[in-house]
Amino acid sequence: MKTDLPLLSIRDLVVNYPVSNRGRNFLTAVNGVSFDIHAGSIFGLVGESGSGKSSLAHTIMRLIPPTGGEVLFKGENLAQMKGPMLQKARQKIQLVFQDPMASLSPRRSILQTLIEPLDHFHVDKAVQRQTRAVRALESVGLEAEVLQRFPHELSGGQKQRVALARAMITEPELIIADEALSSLDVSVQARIIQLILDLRQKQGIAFLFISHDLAVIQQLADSVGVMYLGKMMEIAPAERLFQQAAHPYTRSLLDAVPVPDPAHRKPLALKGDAPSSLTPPAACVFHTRCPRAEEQCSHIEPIKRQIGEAGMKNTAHNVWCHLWNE
Amino acid sequence: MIIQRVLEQSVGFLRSDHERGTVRDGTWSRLKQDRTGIIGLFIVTVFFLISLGVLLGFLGQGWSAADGGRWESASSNHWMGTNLLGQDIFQRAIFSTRTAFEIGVIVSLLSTLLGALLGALAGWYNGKPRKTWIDGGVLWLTGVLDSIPFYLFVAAVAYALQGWPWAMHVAMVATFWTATARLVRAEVMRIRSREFVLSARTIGLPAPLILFRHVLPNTLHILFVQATIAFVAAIKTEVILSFLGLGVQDSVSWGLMLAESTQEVLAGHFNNFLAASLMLFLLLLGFNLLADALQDAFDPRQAAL
Amino acid sequence: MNKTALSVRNLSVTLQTGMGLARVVDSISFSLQEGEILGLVGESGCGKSITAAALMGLIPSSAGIVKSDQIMLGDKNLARLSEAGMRRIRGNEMSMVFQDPLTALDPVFSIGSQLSMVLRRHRGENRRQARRSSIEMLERAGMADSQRIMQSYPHQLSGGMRQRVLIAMAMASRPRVLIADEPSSSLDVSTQARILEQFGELGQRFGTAILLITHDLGVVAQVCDRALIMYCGRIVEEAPVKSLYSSPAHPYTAGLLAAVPRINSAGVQRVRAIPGLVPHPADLPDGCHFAGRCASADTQCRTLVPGIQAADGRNSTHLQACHHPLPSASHED
Repeated sequence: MKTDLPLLSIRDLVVNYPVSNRGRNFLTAVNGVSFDIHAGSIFGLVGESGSGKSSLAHTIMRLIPPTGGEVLFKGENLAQMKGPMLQKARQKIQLVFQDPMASLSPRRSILQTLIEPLDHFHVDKAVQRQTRAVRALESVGLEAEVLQRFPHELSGGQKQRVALARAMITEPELIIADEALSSLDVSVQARIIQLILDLRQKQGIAFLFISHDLAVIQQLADSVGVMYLGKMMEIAPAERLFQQAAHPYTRSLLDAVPVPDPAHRKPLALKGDAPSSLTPPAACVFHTRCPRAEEQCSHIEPIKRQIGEAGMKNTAHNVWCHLWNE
Repeated sequence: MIIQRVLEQSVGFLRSDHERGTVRDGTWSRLKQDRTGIIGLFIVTVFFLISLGVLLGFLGQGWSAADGGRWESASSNHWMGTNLLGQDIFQRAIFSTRTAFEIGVIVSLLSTLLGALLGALAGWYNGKPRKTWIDGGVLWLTGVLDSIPFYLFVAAVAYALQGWPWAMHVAMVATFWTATARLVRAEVMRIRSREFVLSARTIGLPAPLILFRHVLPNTLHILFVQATIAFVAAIKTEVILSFLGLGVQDSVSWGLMLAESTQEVLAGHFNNFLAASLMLFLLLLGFNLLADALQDAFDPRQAAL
Repeated sequence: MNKTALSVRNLSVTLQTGMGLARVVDSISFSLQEGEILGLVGESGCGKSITAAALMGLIPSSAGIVKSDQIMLGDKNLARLSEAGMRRIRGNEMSMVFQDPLTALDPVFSIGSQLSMVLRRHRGENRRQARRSSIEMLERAGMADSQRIMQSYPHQLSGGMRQRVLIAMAMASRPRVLIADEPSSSLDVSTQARILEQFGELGQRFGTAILLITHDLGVVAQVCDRALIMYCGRIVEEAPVKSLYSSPAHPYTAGLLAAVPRINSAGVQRVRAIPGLVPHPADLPDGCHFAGRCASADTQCRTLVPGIQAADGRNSTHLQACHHPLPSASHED
């Protein structure tokens, strides 16, 4: 396994959306974001609504074209791929969505849904595809008889597991989970967390796990990136982030998460409401709410600073904040 | 509305996990419970069987035989008497059922299909750069067609194609498709951003395949209702066309009978008028009841919750 | 000692489902004190939202049957009240805030006019007074830009702001009881934290009793004074929040707490899933509903429904419904 070439590499990605809103005709959802995901690792991308995390996921999957920057899959530019090379790439990167209610086609049986990618990518011989579907279901903890059912007959947790089975069935190298656990009950969520860790361990699948829930991210991620209003604030190996978060936004997010422990009740550190992504603040996008903002934060945009060593497999600890200018 | 949402959110779980079998998730059971809907279905079925009987040669075969006297009153020979030419009114009324169903079925099927296709294309390509002209084109067409007074347009097309047995059908299909297209377009625009469609796109499925396999099947509730509405509209339009002399040519229909009866009624003979209007009224009533029940059954939020 | 704002005895709700009759709420009893925040906690399908709907009288008789010995709001028994009577209570002495703020606000009216409408109706103020009170309410709810918000329409505001407006509207009549059904689940963590702060103040400032319905154990720990844990229509544990978290008595509560991910700066604390599946409400097992998933279940558990008793070794207000409750984790409370 090549440890130097990342599986997925995002370089200065910019994604603009056309919108019609009082004279403004586009919205910059992602504004110059870079990070790498290595094979077999789980990258946690944290952000609240408006951070651009979903747009990032959609751009990787080519649902939206990138406006600037590159998405490299095993070194090749994903947005420019065509033909058989694109087909191969599509097979290797899969996406699981947030809303289990809408992620499965309502009028198709689970069997049809699972087999669809196999048919499209011509995986295996036709006769073997049903067996593969059964095996995929079993690996997510569902029984074979679920194949005959329709989405409305399944609970949220079961639907999400089917979505995961469908993502795995083509033996991808990377699965992008966009808030995939957010609408699930706690006990179901715990089960799927275990499942994801299993998949990573047994099949070496890498994950880009997108969530606003830092506690879940800590359960899963090897490296974590924190986004705010389209920009990356901090990237770090997971242990470092949860031990010594550098960026004020990360710190306030960590503080804001309600701890299931009544002995620890905390006051709120963040001021004001999140600005609209249509009119992001100038320079450091976080300066309007930052408890430690200084004069320069509203004039000069912070650049990347590395504050921790990168190991062989580990990500370096990088932060985009003037406080760390030394 | 809020009440329903709260209950939906909580009761939604109750529908999951263990209910087997019902693909349309309750539609059929809701339909079964709707009393007026069942009556409508019954009426429509009876009429359908009659038309089948005519088609297969069992019923109404004596519609054109002019073997009675002029304006005979009801007798055992002629159950509803005869018309101006001595033809059996009852036979004619029965035979017309087949005419009605033929027009109704052909027009409703074709106009619904055409509307579904064009509507789906318009909805899918709406706003997509470089391809949005498809949506623009379809919308323009619907706008143009809808701005022409309906019956005038149908009459004009039927007149222009006069002599051709399918003139009437073409005229009707050409105007009826717009309503369906508009509804399907709106629904497709709603569906296309839902995750299961996005999933299909991420696998790389081509657009036509996605439309046929994932999108259109989820518009069936619209299509069923529109088809029943089109059926009714087709029959009513045929009546108007018959009055204008542009209806069926070598056959008989209720519209034709009604047109004939205008003179007869002045002379005091009502049988023709009664037979035709009674049949027409019953079938349309049946269909309307059925259409309402279908609409309620397909919409899960209308369920008694 | 505080007065009781709401007292519920033996409330049951039976709904018609595709699989037969389902007892989604099974004879539950609890009381809510003035000024306290009581959490009603459970996962999807446990009956907590239906409980809220039943208390507000929002379950139509065509959907299901609601039975109770009594539901006392002050000195009124809501169980015996007619629809007209309930309408006078709703929005007045008892208000509700729903999960999805977008659909609860009318899209064609500005926030200002909707707020004023509520005030004119419930407080009898005139237009000018209502406008002033609306601005005041918004500012007290922590929304600085109140003028702009008054003129905005619902779709122009963020989810968090809409929810805060709704809470302000629900509080307009200074209700005795506020029921909040998952008020913060669709919101960001930072907005959620602010809304929870708002709730905390409401209880203190106005003496409103709040019934907070949620599945989020973190939220409950931050804001609630006491909590009720529901499973398959029954209350399985009831306790002051500190005691509940430090020393859960019911295996389900313990299972839930073990499944909640917690941020730990010292390293990952692995979550543990609860084995098995939640039974369908129309197909509930006999005895304790949780027996099928419980490590300590025996024949007694599968045949006899556990009654509610005080939990050993804990605060006397800590109750549980289990034949083999967990031992106390702390020595004192």
